[in-house]
Parts: sequence; C-alpha cells; structure tokens
Amino acid sequence: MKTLIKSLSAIALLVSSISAWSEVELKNEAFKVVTITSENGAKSEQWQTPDKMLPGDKVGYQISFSNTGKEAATDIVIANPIPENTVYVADSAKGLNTDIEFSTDGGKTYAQPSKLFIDKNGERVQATAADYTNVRWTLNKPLAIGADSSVQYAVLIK
Amino acid sequence: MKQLLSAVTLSLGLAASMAATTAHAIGTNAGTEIINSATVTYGPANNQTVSDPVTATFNVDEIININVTALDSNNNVDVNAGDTASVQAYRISNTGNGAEVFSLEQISTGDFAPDTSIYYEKVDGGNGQFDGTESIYISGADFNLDPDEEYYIYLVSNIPAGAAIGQTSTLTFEAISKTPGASSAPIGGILSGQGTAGTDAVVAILNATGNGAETYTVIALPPVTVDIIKSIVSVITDIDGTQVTGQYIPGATVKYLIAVTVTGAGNAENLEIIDSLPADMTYVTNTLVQQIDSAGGFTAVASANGGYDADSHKVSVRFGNQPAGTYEIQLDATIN
Repeated sequence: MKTLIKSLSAIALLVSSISAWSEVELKNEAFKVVTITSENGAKSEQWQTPDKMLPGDKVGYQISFSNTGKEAATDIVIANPIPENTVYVADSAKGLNTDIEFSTDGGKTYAQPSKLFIDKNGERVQATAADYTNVRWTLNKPLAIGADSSVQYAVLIK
Repeated sequence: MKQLLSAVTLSLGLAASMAATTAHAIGTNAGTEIINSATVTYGPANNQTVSDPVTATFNVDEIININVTALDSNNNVDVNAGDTASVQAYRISNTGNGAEVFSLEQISTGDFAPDTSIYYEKVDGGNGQFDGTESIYISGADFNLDPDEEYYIYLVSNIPAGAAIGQTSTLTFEAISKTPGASSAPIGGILSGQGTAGTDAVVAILNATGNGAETYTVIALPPVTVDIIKSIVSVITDIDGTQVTGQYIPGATVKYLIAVTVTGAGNAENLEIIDSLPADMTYVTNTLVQQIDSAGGFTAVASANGGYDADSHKVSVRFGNQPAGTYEIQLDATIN
C-alpha cells in the first residue's frame, strides 16, 4: 500500500510538472479585409471588424498565441484547415519566424507551395491556392515565457 | 495523442469533401456559417500537447440580386394590329445568394396600350416557347426564386385592332424584391436583419429590381375576316295566318336574320350573302330586306343587287366591296 501511494504521488508530481512546463494559449479572430484607396490613388488593405460578409469578400484570420506557462514552449505548430465555402488567397499566409506549409489532402501531408502537386485529369500539376485545404505554421524558435506572437492568412468567401 | 490527431485529420477530410459538394455557382448561400478552426501543438515529440480547436465564426450575409434578360432579337416583336397572344419573352434568374421573393410587373408606353398578361415557366424543364402550358402570374403574388433558379417569363398581349402600321408600344418588365425596404434601396444599400435566416441583406441592383424592355411594332393591319350568323327573329304567323302560338308548325311563317360582320383593315371584296332556304320552306315574296351597320332600318333589296331564285331555292344579296361593319338581311319563309 505504501508503495502504491508513493507511486500515485509521483504521478501527481509528474502531471503538475508537465503543466508547469509551458502552456500556449490560442486566440482566433476573423476580419473583413477592405481595400482603401487614398486620395493619391494608393491602395491599402484594412482589416476591419467583420460586418456584411458576402460571397467574394476577403476575410483575414489572425491566430494569436502566447506562452502562459512557466517555461519556454518549443516545437510550436499552428494548424488551420481552410474553412468550408472559402478559398485560400495566394501568398496571404504570414508569420514571424515560421515555416509555412500547405496541404491539399485535408492535412495528411504538408509541403511548401512549390512542392505541392495534385492530380488533375490524370496529370500531376502544381497545386494552386484554390487547391489548398490546410495551412500550417511551424515556429522555428521556442516561444519564451510570457511571449506572444501571431500568424495571419486570408480567404475569399465562395 | 496520436489518436486524437488522426481523429482531427479525419474530420478535416470530411469537411473538405463536404465543401466540394456544397459549393455554389452564385456564391455561398446566405446564412451559411463560416468557421475557422485553429489548433496549436507544442512540446517535444515525446511529450506533445495539442490544444482544443479555437474557432472564429461568422455568417454569410445575403446579396439581393436578379438578372432579367430580354430574349427577342433587337428587343422587338413585329405584330399585326388586332393580333391576339403576341409574346415577348424574358429569362430571369436569382443571382443573389439567398431565396428571395419577388413581384412581377409590366407597364406599357407608346402609341397604343396592349392588353397584357404575365406567364411563367421554369427554365429547368421548360422549352422557352409560349405554348399555353405556362402558369399565369397573378398581379402582386409572391414569386419565389431560390439562388440560381431561373424562369422564362412571357408577356402575352392582345394588340388593339385600331393600331396603325409603324406604331409601337414598349413594355417594361420588372422583377422587384419584396424584402421590406429593398425596392427603394440604392446599390449597396443594407437592410438590417432582412436577409436569409436573419442575416443582413445587401442590395446589389438598384431598387432591388431587375428590368428589361421590349417593343411591339405594328407592321401590318389585321387581315379582313367575315363572320356570319343566321337566326330566327320570330314566328310571325301560324296555321291560319292570324293566330300566333310561336310554334314551328306547318303553315307558320318565320322571320330569318342573317348577319355578317366584317372586321380588319381594308374591304371585304364582292361581299355577297347567299342563304339556301330549307327544302320544306317557301320564301314569302317581297320580304327580303337589308341593312348596313344597323343604320336607317331595313330596306328592300334592289333587284339588281339580289333576290330570291326559285330554281336554286336560294336568297342572295350582293353588297359589293365593303369595309369593316355589320351587314344584315332579313327574309320571311313559310313552313310547308
């Protein structure tokens, strides 16, 4: 019995120490991406609170993450399937210190755009943005205690 | 942890295939929820943590839009004055992304006002030709169109017989959204909460109205037509020539009326009414009279213009070349 109690407490200790290592919290926000033309004709994009979302509109997603744990978080991977009824906007995925990869098979395999191929009418062709089913960011640096960061990408509503 | 990951992957694959089947030509249907779901994985390979999915969700709002296309070449239909069931054809489709209710209207401007009804037929299964199998649209009724749904619309008109060659009448056809506020909204106007499933509706076409116009051009006058009606006006006498019972009995004399109506432009040439008397009846001498356009009462027929021919047992009256009007003759005959 004594042995059992000992091992139980050892497990409890182990669990608490795991949770104390690092803890990454996620926040996912949608924005309406609006193109603003300034007086001198320059165009810029603004990310606005989503409102009147219609087919053809551009939607920006920002996924923020922060390390609320007590140790640096390593090997952080953010995975995000492209939402239904939308298509990925080419070159829209961004993220500081991340490797960005895409999937065309629902997340089974990922690769960089130049290495993504699909079968089209029996031919192997380069995948386009519309073929992407998932996007994934792999941080190539640990996230320090208390640090936060974010990644972004955009889609068009079909 | 590995199991959890594969379950997530499976559901993602399912989502992807569903997206493919529900994709819509016009755009995502109003009211559809767009859900973005992110997860984070961290920690060394031997001790990975995977978060629950964190989502960002919004609903697709409604676009109100309709396309109206006139189908007749040069937006014109050539007609004859007096034509019935002349047809102007349109094709309409809901190019918005929500089920929408419309009303259909037509109004004429120009030299004459045709009498017009609106008929409709689904493009899916329809033939694009008005053939009388279509449904008639009751003014003000709800005309429901799902996204992408298409109908043929036929404006079916009677052209006034009095219209002259070269005269035109233009019918404007409109399909107007019945969503409250839509019919006075500018392009880009927003109707809060009036879209599908309580979404906002954005008007993509002025006044949420699709319209088109086509013209009827009169290229010919109505052809001359002649109609004839023969009737018995009264039983004048019976049996002994005095007692009137009104019965068709031997000895009774009846008065016949033969009326010819000429319609159309131009003359009915060499108009002649010939009436073959029944074999068992005898013409009463000097009872043949004529009248034109119910004017001036019946007058005797000049012998040069007709009379009774005993050999053929026929009465004939020659009116000659005559324009539109009513031409009548009366005569008495006795039942043998």
